[in-house]
Amino acid sequence: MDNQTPRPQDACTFAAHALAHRLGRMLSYFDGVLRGKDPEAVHQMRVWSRRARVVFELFADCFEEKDFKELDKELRSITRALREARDLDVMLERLQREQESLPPAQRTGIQQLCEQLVQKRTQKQQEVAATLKRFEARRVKEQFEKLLAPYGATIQTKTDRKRSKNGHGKNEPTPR
Amino acid sequence: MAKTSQPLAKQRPLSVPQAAVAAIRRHLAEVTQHASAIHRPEAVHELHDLRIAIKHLRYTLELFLEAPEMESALYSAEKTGLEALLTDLRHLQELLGNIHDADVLMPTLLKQLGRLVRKGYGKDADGASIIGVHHVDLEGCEGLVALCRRIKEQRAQHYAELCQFWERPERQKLFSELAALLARLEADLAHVPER
Repeated sequence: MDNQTPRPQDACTFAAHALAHRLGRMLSYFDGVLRGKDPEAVHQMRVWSRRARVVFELFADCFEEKDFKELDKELRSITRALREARDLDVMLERLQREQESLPPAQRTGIQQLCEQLVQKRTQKQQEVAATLKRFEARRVKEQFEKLLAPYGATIQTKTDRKRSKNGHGKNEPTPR
Repeated sequence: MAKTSQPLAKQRPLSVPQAAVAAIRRHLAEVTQHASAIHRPEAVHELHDLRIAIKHLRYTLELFLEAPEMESALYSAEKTGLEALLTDLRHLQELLGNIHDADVLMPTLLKQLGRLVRKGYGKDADGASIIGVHHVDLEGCEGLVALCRRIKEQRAQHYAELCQFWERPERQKLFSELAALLARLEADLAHVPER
């Protein structure tokens, strides 16, 4: 065990800082997702929204019930919208990859399916954008900041984070 | 479906290790509850629930390993064990994710196959019976069937790998060690005076 024990914090303070970190990471992908051209941004934003929800829901009792319910609903709507978009991205990517190994004449049914999925994805992007714009309009980030402020936690976003080859911040692990 | 995390009991001020024990214990129980699905390849919903439970356990372990309080509460061998467990959880999640992707893709492909086949029988827009051999793109159907078959084979491979990985003694040991660690932490915490 470590002899240099840091000053212990209570679980709520720890949770508030962990939540702020996760929300910051989630919001770092906001613009990329809004632009609708970066499947990796969709994936990452969804992963970090899910991670944020795990902390928020686990430590719900650290916050006022009304605030928790309202903000949890906002986080859920982001996770849900991104999940459907991500599912379509994954399916499209796979179909496009798999069809290449088939003789051209056998690809028509899959190509038609891809066209339908692309159309569906375009519609889904409108829903995703609407969800993100609502997040902004309702000042959800500011509401979270207000909620976390008593614990000394702040949400820091790096919207123009440098991307490495795999689409993540440099030297950051690849979450899933 | 696997439930999302329920809030921890209202015991304030709860220390970080106390919260960790309660949360990890709960998520470990969820994994154990859904683990029987591993021996049923056709249990698509239950396997998906297991994947969610594993993801919750993983995120929760990662969360608490960030806390400086856990650094001082854990022996280095325990920390190493938890890191190895996280690697295993990531792999399990990936295998279950591949299985789920196949389970979701298959009906989408079959629906498309149905659309193509549907052009070859029944009534046309004017209510006349559809007859003839030229209405269905049989090669397009063949492509879809070939892909369905491939997806099924890949799913079977991922499932076999999952079973093999799950049965590994090393994997089982890491889960047992986590349960023992939780018991050890709980016992230690019971002797710590309230702050």
